[in-house]
Amino acid sequence: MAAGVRLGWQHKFGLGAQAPALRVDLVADDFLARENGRSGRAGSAALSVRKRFGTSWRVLLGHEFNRYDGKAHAFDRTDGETTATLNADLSRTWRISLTGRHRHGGVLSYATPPHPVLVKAGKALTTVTSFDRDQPMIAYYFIARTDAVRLELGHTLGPRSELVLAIERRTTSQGPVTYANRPVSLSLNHSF
Amino acid sequence: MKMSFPWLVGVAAASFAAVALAAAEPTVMGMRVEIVDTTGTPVDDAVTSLLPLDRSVTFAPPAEPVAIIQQGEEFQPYVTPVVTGTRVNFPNQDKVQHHVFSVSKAKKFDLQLYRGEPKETVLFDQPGIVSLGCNIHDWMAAYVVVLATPHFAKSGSSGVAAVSGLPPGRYRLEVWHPRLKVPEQREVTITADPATQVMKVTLGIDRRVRRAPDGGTGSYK
Repeated sequence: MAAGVRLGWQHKFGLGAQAPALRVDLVADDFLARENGRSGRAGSAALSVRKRFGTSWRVLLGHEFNRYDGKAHAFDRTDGETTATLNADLSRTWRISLTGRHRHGGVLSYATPPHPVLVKAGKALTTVTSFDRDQPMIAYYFIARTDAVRLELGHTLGPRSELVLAIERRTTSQGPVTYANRPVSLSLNHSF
Repeated sequence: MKMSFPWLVGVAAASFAAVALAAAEPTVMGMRVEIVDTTGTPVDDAVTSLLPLDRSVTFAPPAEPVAIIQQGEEFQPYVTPVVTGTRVNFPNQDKVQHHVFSVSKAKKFDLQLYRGEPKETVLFDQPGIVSLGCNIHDWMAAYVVVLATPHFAKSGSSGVAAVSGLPPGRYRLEVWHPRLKVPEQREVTITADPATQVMKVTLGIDRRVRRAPDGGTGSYK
């Protein structure tokens, strides 16, 4: 569970939908987790530039710094992430977008029993009970890079709602450690 | 009965004036314009105007400003025809601020962030098409069609625009719509009441900016 505040500031360089817009977002959240040490505070600062081309194309470039301070030091993380998105509105209700992401920063990985590859790549920090397993798991911390490509198909359900089908290929790697994820998601976004 | 000369002159003059008044009273007619696209579907929000070709046209702009409101983060109405010299008010009935602007040749203006009533109305003093936008909400769009003739009407969902109060004569009939590349024009002569014209128009793609929640950049937490 998280509660926090977000401050946003936007500047548009000119008049009209096609004028580029610069946006700064500052976010501070307080997290409460069942596992006490995992609870903590998160903060992020994001800078993004958005530009429309015609009425159908949009480009979004952004960079974000994130910091998480857990009650237990083992859960602290710092990272930076760069995002580039190309969006095309296919019609008044359909859109498609392609996003590339690069993240560099702290990653927590878990294993039971001690994992030889993780022992080489990272630092064993603590044992965790996060996953309701009989045995506690060992948390390893290492700095890794994550590269991802995400394809989204969005369908507008109303002025404030959108249904989004997303397919992503995401690879996190550090030396011999590589995690490849292929998430597929269907989400309903609603802005209040 | 004897009638003196001055009386005779007075009666004759009064009779002549009555005849002259009856002859000068203009006969007015109406025109019904049906606007359909190439598939025969009625076209709404099309502005029909008639410019007299046989006489000069005089008109006075309305004393009160016309209103184009912002509600639900949209402009209402989408298309507003007015005569040259009309003032338009842009009240914001939303809880969020809007920044209404136009960069059109016929009228450039910029009402920076406000809620409720803007500080001033905007005078549309040149004929032409004025595209409106909100600099915060890209999808908000509307048009003010500024006309140099008082003879105009906007089509409703039935695709019919009815113009009344037209003296007989020749007119240039023009139909404008946001999705028309160039206005449709033809010369018409109004002799019957109501005159009817059917205008078949080829509409382009609806190029309004799509409205949807903005997901931002997102990140891996």
